[in-house]
Amino acid sequence: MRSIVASELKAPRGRHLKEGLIQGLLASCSLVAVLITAITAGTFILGSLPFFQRVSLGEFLGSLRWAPLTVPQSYGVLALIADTLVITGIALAVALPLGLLSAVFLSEYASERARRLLKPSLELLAGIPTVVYGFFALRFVTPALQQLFPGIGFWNGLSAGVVMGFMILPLVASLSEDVLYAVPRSLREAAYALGATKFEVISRVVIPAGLSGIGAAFILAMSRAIGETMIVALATGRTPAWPPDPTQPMMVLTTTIVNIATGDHEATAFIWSALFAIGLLLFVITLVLNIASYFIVRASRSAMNRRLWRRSQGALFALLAALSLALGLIVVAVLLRQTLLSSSQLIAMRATADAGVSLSLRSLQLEVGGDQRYFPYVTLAQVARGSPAEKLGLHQGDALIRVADLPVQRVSAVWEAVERAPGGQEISLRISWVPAVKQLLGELRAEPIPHEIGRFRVRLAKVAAGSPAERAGLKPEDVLLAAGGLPITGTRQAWEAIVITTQISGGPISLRVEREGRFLDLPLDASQQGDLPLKRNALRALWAFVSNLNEPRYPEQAGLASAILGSFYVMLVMATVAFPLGIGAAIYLEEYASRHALLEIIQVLIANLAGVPSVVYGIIGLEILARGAGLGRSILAGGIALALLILPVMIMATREALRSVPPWVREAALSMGATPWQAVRHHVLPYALPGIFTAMILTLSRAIGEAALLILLGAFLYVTYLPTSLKDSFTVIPLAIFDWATKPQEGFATIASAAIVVLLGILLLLNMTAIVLRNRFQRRW
Amino acid sequence: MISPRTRGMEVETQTHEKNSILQTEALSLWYGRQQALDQISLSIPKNRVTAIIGPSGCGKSTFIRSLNRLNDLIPSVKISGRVLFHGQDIYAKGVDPVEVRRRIGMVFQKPNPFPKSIYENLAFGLRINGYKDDLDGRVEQALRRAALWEEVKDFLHKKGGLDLSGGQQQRLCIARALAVEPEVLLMDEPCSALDPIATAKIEDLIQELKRDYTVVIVTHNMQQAARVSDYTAFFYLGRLIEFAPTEKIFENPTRKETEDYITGKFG
Repeated sequence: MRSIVASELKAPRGRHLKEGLIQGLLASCSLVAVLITAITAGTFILGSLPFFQRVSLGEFLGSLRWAPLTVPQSYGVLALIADTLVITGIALAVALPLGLLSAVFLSEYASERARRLLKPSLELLAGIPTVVYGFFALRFVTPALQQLFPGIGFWNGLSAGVVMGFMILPLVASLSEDVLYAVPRSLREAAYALGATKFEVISRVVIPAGLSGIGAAFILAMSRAIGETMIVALATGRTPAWPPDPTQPMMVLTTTIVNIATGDHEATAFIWSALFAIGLLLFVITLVLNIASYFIVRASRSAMNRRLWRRSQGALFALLAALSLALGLIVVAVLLRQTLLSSSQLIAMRATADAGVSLSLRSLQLEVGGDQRYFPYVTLAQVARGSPAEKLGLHQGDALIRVADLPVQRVSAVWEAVERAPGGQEISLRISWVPAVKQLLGELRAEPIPHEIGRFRVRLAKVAAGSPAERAGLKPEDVLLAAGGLPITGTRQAWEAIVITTQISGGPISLRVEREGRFLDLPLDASQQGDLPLKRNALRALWAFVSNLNEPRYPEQAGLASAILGSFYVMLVMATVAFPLGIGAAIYLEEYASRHALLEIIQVLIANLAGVPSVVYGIIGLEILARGAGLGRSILAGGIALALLILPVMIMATREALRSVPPWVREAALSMGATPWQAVRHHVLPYALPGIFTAMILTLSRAIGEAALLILLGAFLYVTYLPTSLKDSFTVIPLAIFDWATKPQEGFATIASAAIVVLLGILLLLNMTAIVLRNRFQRRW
Repeated sequence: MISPRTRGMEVETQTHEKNSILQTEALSLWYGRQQALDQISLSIPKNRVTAIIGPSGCGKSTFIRSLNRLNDLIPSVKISGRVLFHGQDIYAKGVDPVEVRRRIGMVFQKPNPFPKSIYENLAFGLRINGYKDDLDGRVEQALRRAALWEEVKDFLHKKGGLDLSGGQQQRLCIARALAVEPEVLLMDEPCSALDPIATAKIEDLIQELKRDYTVVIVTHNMQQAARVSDYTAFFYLGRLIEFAPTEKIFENPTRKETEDYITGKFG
């Protein structure tokens, strides 16, 4: 008989050390969450101390007036809170019912094929960055709402709220669906076996079983709505409203923070402490909310069974669920289509840029019959050397008046004409233009009129040889009085009046001059004509757009290269920091940590951190990384700040993935003598990998579209160089979109759309890869 | 902890101290505040099949899961008493549960092959136990011992463990446990998810196994206990009521509770 020596049951040398090291490493990952919370709380409390020394808590929370920069200053946030809640309420009213119903449809009613098709599209929607939704709200939804309800302002809360609802809908739907789908088949079958209808199974078994997950989705959705920055920054304006009226401009907590952070204040100014005060408030609101919801979710797990609706309206319910999903998808699809259409003008814009011209809009201001009137016209702001435009005889400063026989009074009219001209890629458009004053007339001299301040007699000092003026019979010393009935009141106005009247008449105009005391009306043919060769090539336009540097003045020349590269570097830093930490923390919490009080605290903290708005992380990034650690506005600072933002989400999503591996896998491995790490390393982790991969993609999608945090951090809205090191300052694609979306000049909306198309293209590619991989490897245990 | 108390009933155990490989001494276990095992003292004879029977919730599964420290995974579990393996307490300080589990293998109620190929299901245990040479031979040997080799030898790498039938899956799990050459095999209702034909195969297998291994089998099925085991322990409400050679338990039980259970008066 074999007898065992005592030492044989002891671990071999090194095993405890190795396992202990691994466990320690993983544990420290999860402690990062505690650290972040401590740093956040500490920074805000310390940072807002000076504020509360001067402003009482009563005034801060009780006063309706927020006016930090006007005298008398006032720092009340009540109106800001009210505005925030109203917009969040609108968003939730849209997102919660639609989201949950969509999830039920996908999980319970949709066929496996439909599910495989629809689920990824939902996830794609969830990946649309908020700055894109902001663009939708500003450019598409507000105009649509204005047609429905004429009283609505250009800036309003309703548009932002509704769009925000659609923004968080996919999040609610996708997360809820994950949970519902994971409810074991045996549970459903048990209920069917008791004679339950499908509706009863869903409402009494599936939804209650998935309740904690659905609750988690709702929490995330609500926190995101309260902390959402870009949609409101773009669409609601910056005016605090009391009483809150969603048809009018509003200002919420997050936009207030953006306002302060992007304002031009001294680093020591008192207003910075107000930033921390509002940040603290936002932090506390989400903290209270999340902790409350966390415990509600836990408590309701058992209680919910009894409370759900009794009545069964099966078919109607199925229809409703399907419609909800369809509505969510269609609305966003329509908005995306609009964006795509808008971005198509990029081709025409690039065609004009390639032909060598950059356009800008001017207008002549005249008093006609006692009224101030504006006559807009398009000038050539730049003509590139050696370009087809220069060969045609165009010069900088010329006015473009007709393109393809259509008068142009807006810059976009030029592009529309190029866009619509028949023909293939290579076209030649008949254009006419008025040369700048020297080529058109010669030299002008302005003589002040006595007793009439600001009015001049414009005298022709010299007539340019071979110019239209010479052909019209103008002589030196002629005084120019009016062109086609428009009075001439200065040298610049003289040329502009000729441009406008030529544009209106489309041919020769009558120029009234005074020569030696007599008035003459001379027929002047000011415009010149020629065929400008243009190349309309979609791929070329797109390539030029993504490979060019930015150009802040002329949208037709602007490019996205530095933003794309900036996004790439920032993502690289972010992933390097957040993925290992997040996965490590998740493994520790799910596989090692015993269920004691500390774990509970860490869980609450992580859930809470996931709901902390990105602007709050922006303040932390600004204070700790950019200023404290001296990283400045660098890629490194941006990437690390983004990693902090993403980490809790990454941890939670990875834990979900680990939890989807049933406990028997661990038991089976351990019972064969695997160490805990071997069980994790060889079994749990590989089986959870598809889920972890999804978690990575989802977090990456969120990070790549993040704008608010980086705005706070002080990232530039545009840079005109390519970043080369991690210490360089940078911009990212969402910030370029934000910058362009807010520019009023024509053409910038188009390139904002084009940038959105590029960003969404990147996201689509990313998500497709992930989805294909996941669908291939996902297990239903 | 409850203090040892004297009971009116004297648990009758046939002592096989010399032949015993696993012994529990006053083993008690609590899930949080709820006591699941109460002072279990039992000697499991070497190279024999010991069946553990009793109604649902009597602590059978809990008991065998504490023989290879699998209950360690459940956070709220507390244990008192000793479990001696070759005379050494496996719950003693310094004992690595991993080493315990390498020597005391386990087969679960529901067949639980890893979602990997048949070959990998076995090779995993071999690799983590440091076997590097002749993996193929050892895999074959384990599959032969589990009477599965002939059925799967043509697609060891092509088919996953989950592609097999339920009975084959369970034999794969047995093979997987045997591959690492444990001394004791714990089986937690290994046939409860199987059809009668698959069950018969497993039962035959258990008979084979006792030549080389000590088998402890929990079963809900008294006929099965009668068919396969040499010794039977009857558990009721967390206590060991009676432990004796199987024929004695089934033909002439000492305790009234045992008789009532055997004859179907409750359970």
